[in-house]
Amino acid sequence: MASDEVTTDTATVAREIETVWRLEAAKVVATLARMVGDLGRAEDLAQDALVEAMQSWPRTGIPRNPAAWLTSVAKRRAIDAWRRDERAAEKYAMIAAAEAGDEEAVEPDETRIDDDLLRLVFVCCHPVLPASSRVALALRVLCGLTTEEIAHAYLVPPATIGQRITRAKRALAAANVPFEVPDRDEFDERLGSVLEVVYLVFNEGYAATFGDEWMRPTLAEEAMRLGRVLAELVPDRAEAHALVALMELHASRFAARRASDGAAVPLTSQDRTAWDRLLIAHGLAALRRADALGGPRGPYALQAAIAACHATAPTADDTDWPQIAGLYDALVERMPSPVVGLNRAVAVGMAYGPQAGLDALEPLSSEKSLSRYALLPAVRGDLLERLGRLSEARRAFLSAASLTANERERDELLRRASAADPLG
Amino acid sequence: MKYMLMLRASARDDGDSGAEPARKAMAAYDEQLIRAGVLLAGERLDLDAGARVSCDGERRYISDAQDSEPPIAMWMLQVASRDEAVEWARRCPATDGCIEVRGIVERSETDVRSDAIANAR
Repeated sequence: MASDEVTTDTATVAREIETVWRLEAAKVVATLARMVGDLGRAEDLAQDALVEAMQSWPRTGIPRNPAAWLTSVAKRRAIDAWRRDERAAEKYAMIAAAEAGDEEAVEPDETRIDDDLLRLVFVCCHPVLPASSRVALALRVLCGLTTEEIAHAYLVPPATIGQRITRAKRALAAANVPFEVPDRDEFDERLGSVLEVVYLVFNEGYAATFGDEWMRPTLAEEAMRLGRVLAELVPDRAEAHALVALMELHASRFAARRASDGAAVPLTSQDRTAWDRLLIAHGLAALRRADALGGPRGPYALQAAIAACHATAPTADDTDWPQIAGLYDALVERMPSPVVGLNRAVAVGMAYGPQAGLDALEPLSSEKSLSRYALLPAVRGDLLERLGRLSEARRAFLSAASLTANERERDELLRRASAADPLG
Repeated sequence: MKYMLMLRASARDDGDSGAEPARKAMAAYDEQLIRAGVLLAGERLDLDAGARVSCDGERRYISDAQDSEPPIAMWMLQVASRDEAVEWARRCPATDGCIEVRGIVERSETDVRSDAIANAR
């Protein structure tokens, strides 16, 4: 096999191998999983191939196509194992026939690798697994994170993540989950389950209030990368592109979200020069791709379009609130939830004045799921204050302060309560 | 983390006059970056459409962008590490010249916070 260069520095090569592994592991495991039909076995074989690479690459240099090298070594191992196991003779014959000549192929079949990767994505995010297992499996198998890194990000002991992954693989084997892309009639639903996993990982990184400062952006970045990979694997699915757009547009504000005292800065007060223009440009392009596919916008596209309104407004005053309110109208229909309704009321209040906002808020006040939610009275207080109903505003802010567990938020709400009606 | 990859090559071997196979290889490379989910932006640079603005205090001197090894392409990548950025640079199918790998300064939440403190003073 052709090699680029021969490096003698073992430590450097070891790091290079680690990097290559992280980039290629999912593809290698994907191809093997299709061959052997078992995720755990595929990972073991891939690991064996990695060990072999660590022994031979420092001498030979890293091959031009490391994934193909690793895959063919792992395949050979699989076939050797089957040869020793006579009961699997039939299976071996089948695989050997199917894969004959494959190793000598000059250029690996990229389309086939993509198909394998998509199968692997669907298996790792299979609905038979609980969400926490899907997330762990996706980070480990699809993003190439180590068990330790995942544990670090979620603030749990590595053994917990290790067990979660082992159990997940066992559950997949027990449920006889096939390595197949779902049929057309269940494709969208299953894709929804995949997108959900990606978005969960992103939010863990983006919105989590706990965890390591360094690992949180990593999770968000890994989610964006996985989302982009996925969007290219299913380029005709608008919601995949829309999710990429949503994540990138949100992530573009990562640096501007906290004030000097660590308190959250509302979007309209953020320093827009700190927004990431590169991510915004890419996010807007992803949203255009989603829209170009036609059809009504789904929940991710609607949320991305809302984020895009903010991202493209040069200043907070330039924000196109009527458009945002309209997008929330559509979102409430597609994804009815009290929290979406609350955000809609905020947008309506900005677009059409505080009274319209209060009217939009009214149906939510009897909502049980919001009864302990500080943001509801906080929003009401804000609208009442703008209407000049100051003693009511004060009561609303006080009620919000009593509901929040966040100390900084409570201080701010108490400050607003006394500012609204100092004599109340 | 974001990195810029900048390909510099001798002027005679620019993208336009380059042979068809080289152009195809470069397109395949772009495709690889996209499919790996790391490409945020990527452009070929037009060698005939450049200029150089030199600064000396308040003065500005404008000239043609003359360079024996001009930049001919750039990519902006979002990757997990410097090692990964270097790995992508290694895979670039250029046949001569060099690829510069430059980390983009990220404004973290902490930076913005200290900016705010500085402004407040």
